[in-house]
Amino acid sequence: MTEVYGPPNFTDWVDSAWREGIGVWGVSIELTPPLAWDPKDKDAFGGSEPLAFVNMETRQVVVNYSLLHEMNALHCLPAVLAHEVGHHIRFPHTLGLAARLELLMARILPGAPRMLLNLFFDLQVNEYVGHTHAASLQEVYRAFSRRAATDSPIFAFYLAIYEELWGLPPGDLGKHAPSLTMDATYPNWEIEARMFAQTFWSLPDSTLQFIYFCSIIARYLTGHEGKQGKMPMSGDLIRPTPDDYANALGGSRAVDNAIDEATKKGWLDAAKSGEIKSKDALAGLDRVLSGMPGNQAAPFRRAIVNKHYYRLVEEHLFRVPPMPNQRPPDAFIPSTTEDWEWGDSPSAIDWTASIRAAGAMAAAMPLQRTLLPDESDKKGHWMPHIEIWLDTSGSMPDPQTSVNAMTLAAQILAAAAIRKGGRVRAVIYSWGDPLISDWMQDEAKARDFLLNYSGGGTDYPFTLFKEHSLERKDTIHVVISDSDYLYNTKENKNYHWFMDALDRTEMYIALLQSADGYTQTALKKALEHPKFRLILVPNFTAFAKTASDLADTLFGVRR
Amino acid sequence: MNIKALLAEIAAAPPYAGLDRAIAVAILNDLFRKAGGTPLPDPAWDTQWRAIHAVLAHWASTTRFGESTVQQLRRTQKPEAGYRAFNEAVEALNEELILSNAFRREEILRHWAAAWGLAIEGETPAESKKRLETLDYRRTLKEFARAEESRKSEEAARLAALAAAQAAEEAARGWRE
Repeated sequence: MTEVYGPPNFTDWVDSAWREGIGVWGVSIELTPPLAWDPKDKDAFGGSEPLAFVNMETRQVVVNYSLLHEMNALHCLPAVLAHEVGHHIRFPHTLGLAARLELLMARILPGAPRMLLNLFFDLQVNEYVGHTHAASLQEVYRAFSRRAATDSPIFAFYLAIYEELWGLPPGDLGKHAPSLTMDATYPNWEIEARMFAQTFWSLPDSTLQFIYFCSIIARYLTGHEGKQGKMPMSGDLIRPTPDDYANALGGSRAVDNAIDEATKKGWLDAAKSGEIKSKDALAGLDRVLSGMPGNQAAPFRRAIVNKHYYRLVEEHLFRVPPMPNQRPPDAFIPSTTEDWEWGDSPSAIDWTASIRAAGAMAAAMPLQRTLLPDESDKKGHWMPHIEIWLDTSGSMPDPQTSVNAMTLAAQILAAAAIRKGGRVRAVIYSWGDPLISDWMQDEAKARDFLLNYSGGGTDYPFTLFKEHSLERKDTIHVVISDSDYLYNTKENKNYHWFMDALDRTEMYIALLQSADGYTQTALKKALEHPKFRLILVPNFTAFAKTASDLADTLFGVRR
Repeated sequence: MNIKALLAEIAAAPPYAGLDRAIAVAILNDLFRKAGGTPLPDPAWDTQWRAIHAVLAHWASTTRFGESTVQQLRRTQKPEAGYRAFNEAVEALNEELILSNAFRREEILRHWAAAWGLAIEGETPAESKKRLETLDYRRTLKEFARAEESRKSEEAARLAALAAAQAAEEAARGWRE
């Protein structure tokens, strides 16, 4: 900081304001005191100056003291800090909730800016902080709109909500730009703000509040919100982690219940609520990633998608273990007999064997057997090697934007094999050069590799299969494709060496989504081969279940 | 009547869990008796009774709401006219709204005060009237219906604007990611 604002004992003053801000929430927590805003960071805020915000990476509260000073609102610092602390400890209650609501927003209001989520949590925070510091918050908003009249309908409406909440005259907090003809463009907007203020805070949970917020605020969205600057304290929401988003992608009963309740109350129409519930969860990720630099967005998306697929794979492979008291005893087998000696456990004596060996002298020279762990299944243990040929032609969606049933099936098979100590190699093909992985033993690595996608036409790489069949002969090959595979097979001019290559496999399984009567004809010759197996999947949604059943048959993952 | 204090007391009071009509009527009638007036006769209750009266009776027995009413209630007050005016003013309210929404609680207290001519502490009559107009749910609902109509007529344009914004963003994402 180059200049010093506020009283001479600046540090003490900030410290006291910080403690007051934390005190508003009635909790005892240790947070790093606020740092001063560095004007050099202006570019990161699109040239605008934030009043206060939370650094997304360090989660550090940063305050623009010079702006507060300029706005003549330095004395409002405790309220500003209480607001920031509120985001840390109460609203959002968890980052998981923030992620859930962000993805819900992408489904209710596709195209709406992320800033809305921040405004939503600000409403919750400000209502609470307003119990004790309403006057300071009002001053901050007034001072901010004095600097630049808002030309955004959303901000005009948003400030009208606070005017209603705090019983202020209309227009007291926000000055509109002359170009913003709210009355003409949005008739009865002020009564809508009144109704909102009198309804929003009485709703029983955050998700329902959020749907109500979206349903009302939608009227004031123009599609240009990102270019209209920011409200004070509106860029201070911490971004959830990929884990939070991945969990949120799995859906939640709370969200479904809130959607039903909102539909009942008329905030969503029935058709829209059905559409929201059935929308592919991954489709909302574009909204989550908007505004993020490209070099960060891609890995962030990949991390979220990876975890989402992991959860889906687990749904098909994981089986809840039985209760401990129902657990069968570990397998033991009795050893050969040996002499029992003093000090050995009497329960180890095998009296039948002793009498047979020593007759009447058995009591003097008893024999014992001990129980040894049964390791018979570990001897000569078969380590599955599975090679997965995944068709990612354009007829299937990119697994990163929508759940791709064939990708999921491949991940289920890979996870199952690896959990049985096996190794997996994946070949992702469509048209042109396929993507080939190494032999993988790491489940996460395999899952990540299988998220690759090529698009375009389908051309099964027969030559590559031949090469791979020569490398090792104990491999199970699984092709995951649809009816395109049949056409590839039909067009294959070198069928004889395909049949030879089949000889060099442990097994070759075609897992195909095809209701085509042509299947049997196209695969006639292959079906005659003893190592060729065909599994027809009735529809794409059945892929995961079929893969799970296949994994169980091959590797016994459910046992 | 100190509205702010009463609202705080109501929030801290034991939650309302239903009250038999006969008990609720007895509690409310007692307010008039304590003020030296005449309570509403039983036959009149048949026409004036509303479920929200039971909530008021609960507040009268758990907070200073009853006491505040008794303090200012005039002996000459005609209960039937007062209940009629009150019922008309609160026709848009129901138990659920009152119990779940702080604004509606404030509104019903203010309507109660207005019906019996009770002064609100710390406010001039004009200020009280203005605040009640702001809170009047019946009026808000009527005006809100007009806002709803406007909103519906703007729906198509709004959806088009959002779709255009999304399309523009998706087009930009091509080179960003």
